[in-house]
Amino acid sequence: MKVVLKTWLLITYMFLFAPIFMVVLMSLNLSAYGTFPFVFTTKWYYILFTESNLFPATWLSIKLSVSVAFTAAFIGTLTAVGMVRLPRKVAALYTGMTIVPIVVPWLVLGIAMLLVVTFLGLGRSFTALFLGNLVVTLPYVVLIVYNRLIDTDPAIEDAARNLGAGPNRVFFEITVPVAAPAILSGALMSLMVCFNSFVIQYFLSPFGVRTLPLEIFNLIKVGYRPDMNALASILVIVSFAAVISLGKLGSSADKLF
Amino acid sequence: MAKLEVDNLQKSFGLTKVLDQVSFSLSDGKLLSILGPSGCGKSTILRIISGFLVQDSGRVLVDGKDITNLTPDRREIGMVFQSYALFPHMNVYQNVAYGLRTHRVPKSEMADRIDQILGLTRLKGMEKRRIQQLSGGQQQRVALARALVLRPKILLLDEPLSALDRKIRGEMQYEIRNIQQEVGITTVFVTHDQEEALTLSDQVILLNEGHIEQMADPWHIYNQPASLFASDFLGRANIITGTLVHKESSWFLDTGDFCLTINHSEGFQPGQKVRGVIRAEHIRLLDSVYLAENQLSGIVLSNIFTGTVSKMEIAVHNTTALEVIALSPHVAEIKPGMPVKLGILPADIHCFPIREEP
Repeated sequence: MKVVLKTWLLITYMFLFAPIFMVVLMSLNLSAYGTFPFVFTTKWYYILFTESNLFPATWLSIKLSVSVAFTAAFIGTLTAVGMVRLPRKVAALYTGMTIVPIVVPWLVLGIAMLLVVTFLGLGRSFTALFLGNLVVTLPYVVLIVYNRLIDTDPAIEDAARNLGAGPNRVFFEITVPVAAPAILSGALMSLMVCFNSFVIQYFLSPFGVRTLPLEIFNLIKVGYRPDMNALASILVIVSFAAVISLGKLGSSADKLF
Repeated sequence: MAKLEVDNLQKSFGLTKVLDQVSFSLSDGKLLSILGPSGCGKSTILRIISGFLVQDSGRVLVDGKDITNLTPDRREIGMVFQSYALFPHMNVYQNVAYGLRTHRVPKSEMADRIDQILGLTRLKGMEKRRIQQLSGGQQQRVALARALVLRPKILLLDEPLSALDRKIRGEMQYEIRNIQQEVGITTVFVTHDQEEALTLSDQVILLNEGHIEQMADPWHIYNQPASLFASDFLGRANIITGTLVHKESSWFLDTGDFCLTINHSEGFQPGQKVRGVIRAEHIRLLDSVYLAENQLSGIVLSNIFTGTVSKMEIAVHNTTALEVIALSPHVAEIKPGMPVKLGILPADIHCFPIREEP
């Protein structure tokens, strides 16, 4: 029985990781069309860092994601802090609603957002791009931070008041530091979601401006380029690092300090 | 070190009256327990004294000064929370130092005071420990140290021992009492555990549905209950219903089946319907003790060994079942079905008039 389960586990994970493994493998393969036999090369990495013009798009994506993640972390934390002070039933209603932007099909959401920003006179613009991504990342921060706060003993804030701290001091010295691991992991989550939000970016980017997902999509339409594998591999490694640190933050949040 | 006075507190949540005319005063250095079933309003009193709740009316005075308008951070009242409420992102030292930092105590003085309080609470050498690494008892002592290091005027303890297991709870009771007396701080202790209240306190307040049933020292609150609730809440009590009879300058409680001699209390009227309360350990088995009055014969229904004491159920006159508690070695031979003789001292019977239902 144990052997069967272990094999099952192995197969599942092979299934999950096969595409990622292939990308990394092909980024190191000499063949430009992803064919075997495998011949090791770092040529594509060399091309990526010299000839390919992917870095402006990458840099734009990073700037967009980081600013969205920061804003989402800030607004989301305040929202969550407000929510824990509501009666449980009302808060449950809000958490339910918070999930909506994540579960609505993003294609629908993207089109709807385009309609809204056009109506508002923003049109396709950096502002629209920023706000659109904020909508799909904010829920993650709110939910992660809210769940952390709800698990936190509310008496610690009272205890700080009792020890002579004013309300502001309690917020900055107790509430925020205790929620910090959750705020961080919410921000990281937002960063990754925003980086990946092809659909939203497709509808809201100003004309002629391409984030990395849009740039890759654009290139794929013309033809396959192996240096994209190299870039993808680098992104995979960065995301892995992010996921691992996210897991560390989530599971052992208390041990961070 | 201060005198605490609570004057006619009233508090309602919506339509529910939580506190009704609660008044008491506590002199310098004394320990008062507020005892009562859950939901009786005892924690509400602490939250009002500490400033987290505002009363509808009434005053809280410390050394004669009304503190009602002070926010919780200005009250100089230390509090130990039921959950301890230690800061999870700080170590032991930082937890204890927090209040000193908010009060801008100079660094040098801070170190001395923390050192002294950690000595008192036996936490020396644990300064760098994280809160999650501490046992329940240790967390309890950190919470105590954190409150006491500020030298508050009053110390409030909100069911501080309820999360600990039995053995450590017993040890912490003594420790809290010792520390309280060493520091000499006026303390209010909230609990639903009668043994805890009786062990620790100078004064006990028995609270029921928001009003004070009785306030007395532990001996009196146990032995001279002021109400039916008081006698039933503390200890195991038998309640028998009967009529008062006055005959030849003596008073009797007539249950219809048997008659018990009782001591006279003020307000007794012959023919009055009353409930008589007798604690389970005040009913004696008569093979060893001789009593002139109130001898009853009964049949043992059950005898349950619970360790130090055994609990027996004894049927008297085939109608009333009385619960009797005795030290286990004394009643080891008693088996169900055996006839026994019981005796009750008149002073151990407390009678309370049955209120007429409106």
